[in-house]
Amino acid sequence: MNEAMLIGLLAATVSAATPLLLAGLGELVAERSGVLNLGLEGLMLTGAMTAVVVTASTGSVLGGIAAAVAVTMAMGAAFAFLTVTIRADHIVTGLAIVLVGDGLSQFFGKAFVGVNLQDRLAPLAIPVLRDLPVLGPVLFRQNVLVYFSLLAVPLVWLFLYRTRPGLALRAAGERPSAVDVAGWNVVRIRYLAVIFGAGMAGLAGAFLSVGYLGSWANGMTAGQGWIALALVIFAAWHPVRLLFGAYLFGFAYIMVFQAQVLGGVFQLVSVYLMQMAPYLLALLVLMLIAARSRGRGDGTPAALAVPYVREERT
Amino acid sequence: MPAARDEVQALDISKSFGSFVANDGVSLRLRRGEIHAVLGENGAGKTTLMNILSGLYSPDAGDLTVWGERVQFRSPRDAVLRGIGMVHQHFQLVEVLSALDNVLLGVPAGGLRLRRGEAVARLRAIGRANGIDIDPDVPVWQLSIGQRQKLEILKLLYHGAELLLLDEPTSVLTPQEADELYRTLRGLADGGKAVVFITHKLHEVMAAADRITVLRRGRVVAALPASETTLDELGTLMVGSRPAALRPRQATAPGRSILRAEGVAAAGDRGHAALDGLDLDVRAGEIFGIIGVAGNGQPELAEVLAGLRRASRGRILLDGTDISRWSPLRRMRAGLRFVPEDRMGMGMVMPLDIPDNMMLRDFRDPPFVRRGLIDHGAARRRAEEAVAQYGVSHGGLGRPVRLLSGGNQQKLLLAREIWTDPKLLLVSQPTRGLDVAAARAVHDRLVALRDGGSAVLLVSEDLDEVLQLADRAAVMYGGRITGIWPAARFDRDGIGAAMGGGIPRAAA
Amino acid sequence: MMRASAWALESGAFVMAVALGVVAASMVLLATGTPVYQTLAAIYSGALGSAYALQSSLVYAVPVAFTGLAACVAFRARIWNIGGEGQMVMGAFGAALVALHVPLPGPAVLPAMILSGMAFGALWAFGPAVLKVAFGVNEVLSTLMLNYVAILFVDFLVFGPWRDPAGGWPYSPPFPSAALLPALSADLNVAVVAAPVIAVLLAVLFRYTPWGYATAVLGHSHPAARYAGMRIGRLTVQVMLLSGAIAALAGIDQVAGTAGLLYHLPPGYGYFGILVSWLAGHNPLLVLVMATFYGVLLQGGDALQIAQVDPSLVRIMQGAIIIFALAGLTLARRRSLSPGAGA
Repeated sequence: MNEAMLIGLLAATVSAATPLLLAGLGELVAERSGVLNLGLEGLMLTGAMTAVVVTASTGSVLGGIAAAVAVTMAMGAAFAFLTVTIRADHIVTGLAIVLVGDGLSQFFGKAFVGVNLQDRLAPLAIPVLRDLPVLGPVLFRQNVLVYFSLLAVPLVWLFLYRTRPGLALRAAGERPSAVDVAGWNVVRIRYLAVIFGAGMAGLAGAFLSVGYLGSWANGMTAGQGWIALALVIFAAWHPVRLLFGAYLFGFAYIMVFQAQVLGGVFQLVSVYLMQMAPYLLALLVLMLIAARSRGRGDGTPAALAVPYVREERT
Repeated sequence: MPAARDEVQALDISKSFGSFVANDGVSLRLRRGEIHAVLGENGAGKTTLMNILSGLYSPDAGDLTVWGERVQFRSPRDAVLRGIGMVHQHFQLVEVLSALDNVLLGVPAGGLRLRRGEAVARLRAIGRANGIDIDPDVPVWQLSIGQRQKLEILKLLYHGAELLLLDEPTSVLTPQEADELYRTLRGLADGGKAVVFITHKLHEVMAAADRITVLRRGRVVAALPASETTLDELGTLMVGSRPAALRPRQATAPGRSILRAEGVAAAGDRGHAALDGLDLDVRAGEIFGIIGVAGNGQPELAEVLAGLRRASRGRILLDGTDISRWSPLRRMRAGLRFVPEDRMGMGMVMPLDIPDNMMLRDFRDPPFVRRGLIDHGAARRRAEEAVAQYGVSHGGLGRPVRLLSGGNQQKLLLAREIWTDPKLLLVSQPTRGLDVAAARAVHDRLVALRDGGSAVLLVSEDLDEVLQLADRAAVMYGGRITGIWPAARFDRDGIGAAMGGGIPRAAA
Repeated sequence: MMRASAWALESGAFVMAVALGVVAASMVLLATGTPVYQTLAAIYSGALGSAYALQSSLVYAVPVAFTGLAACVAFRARIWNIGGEGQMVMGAFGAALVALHVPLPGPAVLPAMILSGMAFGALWAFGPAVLKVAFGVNEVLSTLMLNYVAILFVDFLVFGPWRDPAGGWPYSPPFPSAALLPALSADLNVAVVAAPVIAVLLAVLFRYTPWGYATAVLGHSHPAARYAGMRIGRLTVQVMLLSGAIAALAGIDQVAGTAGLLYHLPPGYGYFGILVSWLAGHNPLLVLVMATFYGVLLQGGDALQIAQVDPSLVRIMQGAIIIFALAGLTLARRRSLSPGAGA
């Protein structure tokens, strides 16, 4: 393998990792506040479709991305209303969001299936850094959403561990009653966390459609939303470990793809079998994490998916 | 008379939950420099009153005047901003966070950034000034119960509390820790804070409070200085009639050994040694009481005996047979019945109805199973009998047991376990959270069972309960039995000292 | 047993949710300039309006009923088996394996197919069950990942080694006639009778057997289950095995009844089953009702296609109904205090 191939491989890994990282970071924040949003897949689909439709209709890629975020944030608000206010079951509601997102994206995206976008998010090379050997082409000639996803990791970290609202958010996922008596509004914290998480999932979808592939297809996220959920567990709810996990899985996706292109011995293996790799890897990772943390905590927020209701009559 | 700006006053406060009136025209006057005790039984409305003062509930009627100003709290934040802070009975601490982060979680320290550096210095200074020494960086789960309580107080002081509310502050403390707590509170009062604590323990009120308000069934029945009353008078005020004298104990001949534990050791949930070479011998026809402060291995002991937790060492014998390796089911069928401490989580299934709960432990056996199928009629008949015999009030057998009061739930639990005529009944904290009448009913059942020849192993954190019921009392400390007293030689001071880890003076 | 007032409250909430869902779909139609009345009428006449329409709806309802029954077995015990989809696909595979590759005398073929299919469905649930019991792996994600693996596995077969060389599509060769479920009409096969029979059996199992009681207790409280002498690990595995085996029936119905060959099954039944079970409060008899309702919606989509309206409108309608029903039923169940195994 020569250097150009390696660079191509790594740059592709960055692209494949970005939607996982974006969606995973959003979910991480939501889960840290105590809400399990299983609906990522549906939110990503809606985001991807919205970005394509708006971009194609207005010619503005940024407008498309903004619309994707706005629509998925609205869906996030609906999810929060159901799970936080009405206290509906998080798992069932999450599955419903997947179906709704799938349906919305199919219905409104119908006219755009297979259309190749004229406009898509152009790469933005960063002066000086783009000329670094290897790193330059791999990391610094990407589009703005890639930079945003990488920047979001330290930002989320700073927010969670270095600010007062971040502290309250983490505490809301552990012991909401303590946050309540300390004078914070648990409901508001969880709403904001869920809406942020949904918007990030929408952004991940927009990256896939207008930032990467330049088109829309039904079900185009192909399970990446579920992988992002598994990554949050893998990361033990820590943003820096999530970065690592997202890139590991991005690499796995690219290797599956490359193996098909490379041919040779891989031609003997069906593409369908190779496409199982990310799911089997996720399963393996879940198993290793669980086995390793047996008996100790694995970092799961103690109040995850537990509705908070102020206790009446103690 | 102190000025109004040195007072917090609640006037004619009422608060109902559904049809239950928790507070009915309650008034309370709290002053700087004073320790005020609110005394009452479970269900008298003490906690509701505190929750209203701390802004957690808003009253249906009545006025709050805080430091001379009429206020209406919409949230705990409003109360904190007025200098009112509360230490809840169940500490409101986040275990995975450090002591410092738990303090910083509170309002009203504004700003976006967490300024941990400045906060550490301030926290240390406040701690020193009030004799509270806690490492700010240690995660809360590593703190002892006593330290957690001090952290709660420190938290309030850090946020500028001038009135401190404490809900049952000593329920989880050793007598010695409780003394220390009251010294701390006295220091705070002397420094100009107003302090109020709620309790149902009479002698603590007499020892620690300046003024006392007695609540009964949601109403104030007396408000008076501690110097002008007596233990007897307070007891009468609290319960509404003179408290029952000690239960007459019949001289029982000690029967054969029913339950023996020999050198039992077991790990707790966190992997620490919860039981550490524990020996026990409970005989037929006796109530054997185990008393100890929370956190000394009591729940683990009960679970190990019931077969729900593995013993790493030692033997357990039931009526002479080694049952150490037996499953919980086999022990149960052999006559070892168990009323667990966690009534709502373990002992009953809250969403299920009374008949379904009556067969929880025996759903595989007749009469609940006939020809392999469940006979719901049998469960219903069992439920009807239990309800009649134990005087359980309920709104219909088919309603979920979660709608029953704690006392009624506990009666059902006892009925279910006693009905099988056990060799040994293991009861953990049987009257925690019950009102006096229900507690008495539970005690009567235990005594009747003992008189019928069964062995009863009573595990309790309530010293009075053990002294009242037990034929022998054993102190549990650090995962072992550290002393045993026969009823004839019960000695509150000696037992209290042993509960705090002191070497027992009168071990038999 | 639910009380009458609880029944009224919950059915009211559901009817309201359906009405709101229809309103939401109508608004989408208005927004896109599609005639509302004609479209709704097309759904009605295509899915409900005639005996033929009803039969077509039932074709859709049967697999949803099976995945719904599978879900209620697991969800009652609060075991989050989201793997109905994969278990269904493996059921289809197991049936096809026998139909296409195991030489058996005629009358033995169908029983062997059903057993094989159920065994593969159960196997697909057994993995996550063991991972959960032995390592504490979250079953939501493990069952989900296996859905994708199962679908890709069958894709591999029908695009690869099992592809019918005589046909142009990625289908297996057609099953021999001994491997087809007996038909009751042009569209329906015996599965339409099997689903209610299994629902009744489950209702009896849940209410009248110690095992059913034990799984309900397990669903409410693990400490109580341990206290009652149950072995949580074993019970969890048993529940998952049964759930996976029933989900497999949905796959068997589709390959041995509806299609008569193995192919890439239409996606979603596994997830629909979970929602159907939740809507039914995990009551197996109500699952039948809700699955029929879902079948009508799915058939309504087909009817729209014929009427040249975008069939994914029905997906929006489904989504809206589910969201409204989630809100309404959550509130109704909390208020009605009904005992039983509702989530």
